[in-house]
Amino acid sequence: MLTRRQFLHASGAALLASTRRARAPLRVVVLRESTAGSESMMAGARLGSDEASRAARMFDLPLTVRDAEPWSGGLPRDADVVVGGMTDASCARLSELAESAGVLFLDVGSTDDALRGAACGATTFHVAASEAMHRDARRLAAMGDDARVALWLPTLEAFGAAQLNDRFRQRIGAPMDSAAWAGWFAVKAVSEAYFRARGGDAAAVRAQLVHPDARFDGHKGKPLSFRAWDRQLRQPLYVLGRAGTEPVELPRRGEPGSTWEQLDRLGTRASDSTCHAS
Amino acid sequence: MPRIVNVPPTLLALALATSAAQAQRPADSPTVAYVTNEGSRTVSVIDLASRRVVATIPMGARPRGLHLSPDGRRLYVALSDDRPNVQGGDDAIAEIDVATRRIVARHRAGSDPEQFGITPDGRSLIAANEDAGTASLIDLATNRELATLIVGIEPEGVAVSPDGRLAFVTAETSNSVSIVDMAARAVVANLLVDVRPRAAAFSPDGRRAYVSAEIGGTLTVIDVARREAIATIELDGLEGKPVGVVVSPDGSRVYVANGATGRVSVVDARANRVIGSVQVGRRPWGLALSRDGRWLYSANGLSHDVSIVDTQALRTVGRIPVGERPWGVAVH
Repeated sequence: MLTRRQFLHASGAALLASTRRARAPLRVVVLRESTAGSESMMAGARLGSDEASRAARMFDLPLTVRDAEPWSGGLPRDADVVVGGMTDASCARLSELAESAGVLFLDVGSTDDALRGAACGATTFHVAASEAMHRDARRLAAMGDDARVALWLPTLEAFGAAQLNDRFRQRIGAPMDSAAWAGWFAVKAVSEAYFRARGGDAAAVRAQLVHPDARFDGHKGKPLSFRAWDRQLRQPLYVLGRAGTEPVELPRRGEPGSTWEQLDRLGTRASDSTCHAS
Repeated sequence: MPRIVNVPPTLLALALATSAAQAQRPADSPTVAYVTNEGSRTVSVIDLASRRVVATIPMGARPRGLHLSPDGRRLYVALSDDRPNVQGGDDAIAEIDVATRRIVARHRAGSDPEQFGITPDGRSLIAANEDAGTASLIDLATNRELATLIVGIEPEGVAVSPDGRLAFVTAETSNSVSIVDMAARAVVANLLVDVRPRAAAFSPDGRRAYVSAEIGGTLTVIDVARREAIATIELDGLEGKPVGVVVSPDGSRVYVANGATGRVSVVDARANRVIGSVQVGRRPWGLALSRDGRWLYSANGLSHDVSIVDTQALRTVGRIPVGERPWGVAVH
């Protein structure tokens, strides 16, 4: 039985919540940096923004994406979610600032293992693959230490990849590379978490991103999710050898184990993680 | 369809099969399955009594989704060219006269039509245009486009409710189901479902709709009146990649084709849980049931055949080789 005070409190909270839902959109800011890959990443984020805005209208959950805001070195104002970190240095800085401000930060460029380990940020999610994932991918592909590891290739076709590559090429006029995919996916993952939370703030979106049942489609043929221990995105990777050879996809098709077991063969395992922020 | 209560299931099935047969075709005509072959660009015609391909219809383009008209006299087949994102000359819904097995009309249905549904009165068709993010509503008599509706991103599956009032259109990238009011020609609601929704199917009474989620590995159950997802059923693990969905004529079971594991999951529609699975060929996508619900057919894209499943024994009893990369199957 609710007391009158409790009832009023509860209904007041409900009213505030509905007011917030009606008036306050989730604010996503994509940062422009003067580094290699930034333009491509922002182009991906632009496609992600188009798609997220359209879905936001469908589900009647407001969302704004400022998709090319020059990075000042600090945290952008009026942001619930920041996408950026094209270098290890910018990633480290943004990870720290985001944590202290309670803002979500999606790293789309840094591979630094330390930022996923002892220096990890509680509100940071890594869409870019870690150096540990790159190393494991090269080792498992047996393509040598110089082999390039990609998050995405403009030549991928299966599992809806052709459709995504076509949409990007049509919207942007260039092939979708790894940076573009990371920008696109960061906006997609955040917006989907926001829709699944049925609206809400950065904390609500964070809870969805780390939810054990969360699954995201990156058009790579496997469900993707963020690891609970360091918030690194588990995802298939593509290892490129010499020109003219076929890229190797990891995990290989038909590998044993559950989907998460297969994907966790790339990168730092829970037992080896030194990330303690959660 | 009339609803009959308190009749043993076998009698019910017989009664339904008989009434349907009397209404729609001569009693002695054999049951036929049609299979779209994406690779060989043909439709295979299978005589289900002898379990053999008795004819092959060249389509001249890549065929995918297919449906029979309610009277069984016409077969509609979605055709695409090999260039998505552009409405090419081959993008159309072909209409085949079942008696002569010839294409008698081509309906324009926007670019790259893949799946579509036909209203129970046989008058109109609604198709998903994958790259345009739209659904096209077509009048079949006049070949006129009645409306182009904005749905989710990368629309895929289409199902028309048994009373013809609603259509559900899934969209793979936005994880959505758009509910179309067919009379108003408008999207009236959008539901968030599990990840990468593919096919949709209604229960025969129209109260439930079922949507497969390829990356989620699940089947979402939707309460149609409430416009709400009421259950999400795990099928064959995250590696299953479910696509095709059919509901038994009595509404008691839902069958879902897991493309990656080559198994069909059998779902009890009352308990909303998986009660069994049947191994079929490689990469099954399209599913169809015999009208009495006794036999299930799966189009297996990588083994280039159609599996026949006995739904009572829950085992595969035969395979029929068809063309290359079979996509869908329809049974009359």
